[in-house]
Amino acid sequence: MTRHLLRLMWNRKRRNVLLCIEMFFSFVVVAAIAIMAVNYASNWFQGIGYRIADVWNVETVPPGRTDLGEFPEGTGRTFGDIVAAVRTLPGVQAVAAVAIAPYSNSEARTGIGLKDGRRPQISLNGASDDLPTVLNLEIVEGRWFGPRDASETEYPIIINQRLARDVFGDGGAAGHLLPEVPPPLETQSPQRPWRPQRVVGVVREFRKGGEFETPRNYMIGRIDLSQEQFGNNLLVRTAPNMRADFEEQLQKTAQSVAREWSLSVRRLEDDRRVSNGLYLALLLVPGVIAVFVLLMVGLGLMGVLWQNVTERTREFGLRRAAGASVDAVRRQVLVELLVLTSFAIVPGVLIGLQFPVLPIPDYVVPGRVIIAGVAVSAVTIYLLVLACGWYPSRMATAIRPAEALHYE
Amino acid sequence: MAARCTDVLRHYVLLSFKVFSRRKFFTAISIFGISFTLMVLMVATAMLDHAFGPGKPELKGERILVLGNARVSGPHLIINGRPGYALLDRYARNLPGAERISFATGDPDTSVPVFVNDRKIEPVLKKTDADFWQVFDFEFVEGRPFNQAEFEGGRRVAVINRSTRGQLFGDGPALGRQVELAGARFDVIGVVEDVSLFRVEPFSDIWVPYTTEASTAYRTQLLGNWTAIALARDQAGKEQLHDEFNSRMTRAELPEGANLIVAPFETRFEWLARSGPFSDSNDPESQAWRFALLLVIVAALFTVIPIVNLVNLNVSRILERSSEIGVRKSFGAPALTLVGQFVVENVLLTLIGGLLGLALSSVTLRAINASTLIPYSQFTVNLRVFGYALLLSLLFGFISGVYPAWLMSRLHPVDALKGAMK
Repeated sequence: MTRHLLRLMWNRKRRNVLLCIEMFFSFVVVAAIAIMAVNYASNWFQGIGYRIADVWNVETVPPGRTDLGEFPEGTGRTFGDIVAAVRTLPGVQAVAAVAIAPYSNSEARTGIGLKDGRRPQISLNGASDDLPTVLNLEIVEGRWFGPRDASETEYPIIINQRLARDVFGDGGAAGHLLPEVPPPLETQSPQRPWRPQRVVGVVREFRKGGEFETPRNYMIGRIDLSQEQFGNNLLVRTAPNMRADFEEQLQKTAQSVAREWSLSVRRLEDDRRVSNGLYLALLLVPGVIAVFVLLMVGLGLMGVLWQNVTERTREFGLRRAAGASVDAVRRQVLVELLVLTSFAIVPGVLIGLQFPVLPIPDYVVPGRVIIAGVAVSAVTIYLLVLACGWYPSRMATAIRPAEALHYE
Repeated sequence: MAARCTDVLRHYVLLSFKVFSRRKFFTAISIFGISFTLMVLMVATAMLDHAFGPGKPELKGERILVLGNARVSGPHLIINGRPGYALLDRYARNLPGAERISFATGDPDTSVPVFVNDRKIEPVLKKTDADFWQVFDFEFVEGRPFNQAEFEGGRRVAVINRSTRGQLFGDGPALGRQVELAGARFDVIGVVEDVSLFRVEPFSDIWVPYTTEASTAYRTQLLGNWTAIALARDQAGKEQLHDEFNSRMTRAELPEGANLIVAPFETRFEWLARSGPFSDSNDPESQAWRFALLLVIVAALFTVIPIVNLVNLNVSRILERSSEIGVRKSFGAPALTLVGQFVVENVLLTLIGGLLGLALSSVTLRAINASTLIPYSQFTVNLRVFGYALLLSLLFGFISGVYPAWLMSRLHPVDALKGAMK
C-alpha cells in the first residue's frame, strides 16, 4: 500500500516538486521567526537581576574627549561633583555611577583566555560602590566591592552566576582570582595595565539589555569615585512618586556643576519602554508579514489541492467502487499530503539542527532555542497543511462511486 | 499588422476576464497573494525612495556627497565613527570640484533638553555653518537662515522647525522669541518645514551656528561627531573632490598608534553601507554594491514564496482548462499563441493585484506617517514609486506566468482533450 501511494505521488512528481519548494521556503521563514519568538519568550521569563522603578539616568558627555577615548584632566573630578550635588537633592535616596546604563544599546565585550584553554566571551561594565542599593541587585555570594577593595595589584570584579558557574563550577567563586592567562605585554593598553582580577562577589544576574536580551556572561569592574574616576552615567534612586518638576531640578542641578557638559536626564522606565519597543518591532514587523505569507500559502495550497482532488475524482471513485471506505480514501489524500510535506520539512529540519552545532555564541541564540524554534516551525507547517487539506479531502469522498465513475 | 495585434490583445484581455469571473475563488486568492506581496515591496521601495531619492530639502541631491564615517586603525586599535572637526578643518576645505562645503554635527540623537511650563521636550540640535543653508534648500515658513556674518560672529541665533515651534510657542509666529539651550538664550530667526529623520544630514529640530559653542575643545579632535557635506559643481566635480580628499587622507597626520585612516566623501547610500553592514572595510572605494546586492537578495527571497505559490495555482488552472487548450490546439493554434494568451492573462491578473497593492501600500504608509514612529517621515507613493510598482508587477506576472504557459504549450492535444497530464 505504501509503495502504491509513493508510486502515485511519483507519477505527479513535477507538480509535487513545486509544492515541496513552496513548503520548504515557508518552513524556512517560519523557522527564522519562531526561533526569534521562542528566544524572546524564554528570555522574558528569566529575571533581569535589577529593579528600575524610581530610578533616573543622567547620561553625561564631557567635552574634549581625545581621539583615543581619553578624557582631559579634571573630567573625573567634575563627574564626582555632579554625583555629590545630586545626592543633596531632596528625595534622592542613592546615586551610583555606571559605565553602560541598563537598556542602553551600547555593549562592551571581550574574550578572556583562561588557564584551561577556554576563551569565554564576557560582557563588561563598570559600576561604583552604590549600584546594589540603586538597582536592588541580589548578591548571591560574597559581597559588592567597596573602599577596602582599592588595590594597586589587583582589580576587584563582580560577576554573574552564569559566569561563576562557567569558570569555577559549583565550587564557589567569591574571593578567588579569575584563572586568566595574562595577555602579551604589547597588546596591553598603557592607560589600564593588566592585573589579575579578583571576584569579590557574585550577583544573581545583570542583564543590561533588559527582558528580551539573551542572558550572557557578565562582569562588572569597579569605578572608584574617591579616585576621581569617570563613570558615564549617574543612576539616581528617588523616593516613590516624585513631583513632576524633579526632572528639571535634577537636570539644572547637574548642569550647574558641569556647565560645558552635555547631560540628558531620563527615567529608566522610559528607556525600558523604548528599548523593549525596539526589540518587539524587530519581531513584530517580520512576524506580521510572515502571517500574511502563511495565509497566502495556505489559501494557495487549498486551491491546488481542491483542483487535484477534482481531477482525481475518477481514481477515488474507482477505489470506493472496489470497496474502500470513506475514511480510507480521505486518509489517502491526507497521508499523501503529509508525506509530501515531509519531503520539504525533513531537509529543512536537518539544516536547522546543524545550527546548534555551529559555533554560534550563546549570547546570540542558545542551541536549545534553535531546536525549539525549528520544532515549532515544523509543527506549524504540518498543521497548516492538514487544515488546508481537510476540505479537499472531504470533497474527495463527497461524490458517490457510481457518479464518480461516470464523471467527465 | 498593428491593428491586428491590438485586436488579438483585446481578445486576450476579454478572454482573461471571462476566465477570472468563471473561477472566482482562484482569482481571489491569486489577487490576495499578489497584492500583499507587491504591497510589502512597494512600502519598502517608498521608504528607500524617501531616504535616498531626490526631494526637499535636497533638491540638489545629485551633486551632494557626505563625509560621515572615519575608520582609524592600527595594530592594537580600530575606531569606527564619525570624523571630528579637526579632520574636516584640516583636510576638507577648498576641495577642487566643490561649489560649497558645509560642516555640521552628525548624529541625529544629540538632543538638548528644553523645559516649557514644567514639561520637558528634547529637540534634536544640529550645529552648523552658513553654507549649510546653501547646500540644502529648506522651505522657510517664516524668517530666514543665519548668514555668514552671524556665523562668524558667533551670534546666538537659531532656526527651528515647524513642530518645535508648535511645542515651544504654540501656533503663533516665533520670530523675535527666545529659546534656552543648555543654559544659553538663542534668538529664533527662522522657522522651516519639518525634515524627515531619513534625510540624515539636513535633519534636525533646531539648527544653530557651531561658533556659539562655549568650549573650543572640539576643534582639536580628529574623530568626533561631525559630518562634512559637499555640494559639487557637477558630476565631474564629484569625482574630482572624492579623489582629491582621498589622496589628502593618505598623507594625513594620524593619531598615535594608528597607521591608516579611511574617510571618503560618498553618497548617503554608500555612507550607510560603510557605517552599517560593511563597516569592516578598509577600502576607500565604496562597498555599496554589496549592500545593494544584499537588499536585492532579501527581496528575492521574500518573493520566492509568492511566485511559487502563484505558479502552483496557475499550473492547476491550466489543467482545469485542458479541454479548452486541447480544442484550440487541435484546430491548429500554434504553441506561441497559447503561451502569449496565458502570459497576458497572468500579467493582467498581477496588474490588478499591483493596483490593489498600491492602494494598500498607500494606506500602510499613511499609517506609518501618522504613528510618528519615524520622526517627520513623509512616505508617499509618488510617480517614481508608482513606476517602480508597475515594473515590479510586470516582472512578477511575467515570471510566474512563463513556466505554466510553457507547460501548457507542451500539452499533447489528445491528452489535453482527455484532461490528463503526466
